[in-house]
Amino acid sequence: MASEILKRKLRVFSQHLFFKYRRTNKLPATIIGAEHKEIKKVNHSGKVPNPMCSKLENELVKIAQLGTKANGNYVGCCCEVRVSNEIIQIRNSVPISAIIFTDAIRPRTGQVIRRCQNCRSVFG
Amino acid sequence: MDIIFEEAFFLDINWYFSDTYKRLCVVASGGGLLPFFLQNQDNKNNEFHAIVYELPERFNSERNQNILEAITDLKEDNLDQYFQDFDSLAKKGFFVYDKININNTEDSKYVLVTYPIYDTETDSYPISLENLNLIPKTKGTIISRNNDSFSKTNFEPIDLIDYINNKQE
Repeated sequence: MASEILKRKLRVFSQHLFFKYRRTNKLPATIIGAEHKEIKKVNHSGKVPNPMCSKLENELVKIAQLGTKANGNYVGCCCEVRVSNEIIQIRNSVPISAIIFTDAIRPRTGQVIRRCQNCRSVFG
Repeated sequence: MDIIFEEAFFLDINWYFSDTYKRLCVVASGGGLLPFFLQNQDNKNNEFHAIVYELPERFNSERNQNILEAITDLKEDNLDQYFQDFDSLAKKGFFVYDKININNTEDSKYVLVTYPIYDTETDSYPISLENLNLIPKTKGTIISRNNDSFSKTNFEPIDLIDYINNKQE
């Protein structure tokens, strides 16, 4: 289960995004927090991260080419991928399975969003 | 629109249209599919959004009373946060639609979540008619209302992507 510190960080991130992007109509649809020991990161759905760590890329390309659509979602663009990539970029030894996530959230409403099929196959 | 269409797939954008009676509707995309008109680089959706952002909240609004049944996975203890932005849009004069199932990016079903209360004989129109030309107009209407009643049929799920793609004037 994700730490309270990370959950708080995600709430702050959500409010920040909402007020930053509400005016420009570019509010991200989904955000999430992830942690491994002292490393805590938050991120949102968006473009395929660049650079993408090879550990994640190897798992994602088993589904489909990065940036292409599979099972209704663009592979590599989910917030789970973007946030875990940040953590592995900092510490390459972190196994994907050791990353702990918060729930994925819709910033506009606070609704919890279920993990997509692509992310379930990579992160469980 | 100054964002790439594929990028919009990851955004929870507002897209706007009006019906044949000039009723103003806003759709919260919730991520995923978008109507064809937003693919047109000349569309004025974000220009209209900037105007809406500055509008005063001058109407009363009502919520969909069956929202917990209407929206997938919505929790009762989260309702105030859920409605915060939608209430604001309704108070500006918009019929507000939200995506029924945000877990499915390919789903295009939406439901009316909040709406403005106004009297067409006494309340002025929320925006200038010139600005109304910035958004698509549909041939028919999906809202059944008059100054005394608001039909329950307004809360039935609707495929708004298909609706706007096929009913746009």
